[in-house]
Amino acid sequence: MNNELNNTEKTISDNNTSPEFGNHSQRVLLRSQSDKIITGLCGGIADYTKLDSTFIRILFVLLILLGGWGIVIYLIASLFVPSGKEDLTMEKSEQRKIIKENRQVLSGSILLIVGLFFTLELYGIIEFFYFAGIPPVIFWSLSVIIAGVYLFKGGWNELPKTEFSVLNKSATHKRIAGICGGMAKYMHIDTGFMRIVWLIGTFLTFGTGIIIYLILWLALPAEGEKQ
Amino acid sequence: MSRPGKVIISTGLIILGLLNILSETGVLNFELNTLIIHLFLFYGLIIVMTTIGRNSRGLLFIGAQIFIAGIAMLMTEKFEILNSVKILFPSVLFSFGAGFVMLYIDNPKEKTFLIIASLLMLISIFAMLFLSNSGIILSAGRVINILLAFWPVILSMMGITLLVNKNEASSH
Repeated sequence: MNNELNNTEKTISDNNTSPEFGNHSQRVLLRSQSDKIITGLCGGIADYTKLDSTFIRILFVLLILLGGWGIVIYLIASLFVPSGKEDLTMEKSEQRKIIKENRQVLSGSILLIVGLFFTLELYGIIEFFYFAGIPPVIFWSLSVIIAGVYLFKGGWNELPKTEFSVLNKSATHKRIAGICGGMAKYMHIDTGFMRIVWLIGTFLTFGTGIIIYLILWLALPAEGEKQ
Repeated sequence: MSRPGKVIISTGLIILGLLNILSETGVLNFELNTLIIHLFLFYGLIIVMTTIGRNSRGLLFIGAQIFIAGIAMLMTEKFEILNSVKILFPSVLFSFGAGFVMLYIDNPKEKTFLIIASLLMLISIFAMLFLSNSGIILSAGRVINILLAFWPVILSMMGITLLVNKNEASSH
């Protein structure tokens, strides 16, 4: 992600013109400090391989389905790969953008892994397995404890403050009237996610979601209009 | 999320993990269901308390839903409900209504939230009192049962949506 922002790709320009080395640059794999969710390993690999960090993260998430060994590989690699330096020149808005994107990737990955696991279990393709040799219940308990420690140590940082948004119909994220887009912007969540929640809510409430949508369509001002 | 909120939630997670290990190893004996219900109630309240007035409305709405889900779980645990399908539809309406009430409390300038919350809660009470045996409630129950059967697929869809739209996060 944001390869232009990376600070982990430590490019060592070799000015030595001796025939032994020649003119070349050497890239070193480092854990990213800017594109980081847990230890910054996926961000570092993404910077090193010039791939999108989301792609690397999804690969690691899918590896969890193979007996949970993805987590073990991740932790061992994090121990051996050194940490990159923090980019102090990065602006608050860029920092906020990366934190927000990473949070979305983290939430999406958790939903995807849980959903995939239980979907495969529903069709009998996969069964509860010993995660990396650890019994499932102990594994889940340890995961909950690790999540608690991660949160406690400040891994989940508060987003830098932004302006107070007003509820209105979105002009940019619009399918019908821009209600879901406007609500998503107001609640600081993804528009696609909001649409799915709205759709499920409409099914669950037997059409009440449509009535609410119509009321909001009439009641809310368009983006840029005064209330 | 504020610093005290993070501390409370992280401590709760560590305690939950430790209790579960102690329960599995036979050191402690307790019902996991009861613990989960209390956690839902506890975390629902904590999330609402720590996000209100802090410009984290998505989390505020989710906190309200978690708290109401905890209450619903407590009701089904403590009382014998003969037909749970009948209360699902009004409960979902009430839960969404409670979420909108919290959004209104967070920002009282948005009167629309109060109107929607009142409407949802009124429909919920009306459905509970007058439509308990109607076809609408039973059909809604069937739809809910289908959704409950396919919840992993829905979760995967939500996860994929978040991953695909990750660049959109920065535009909000």
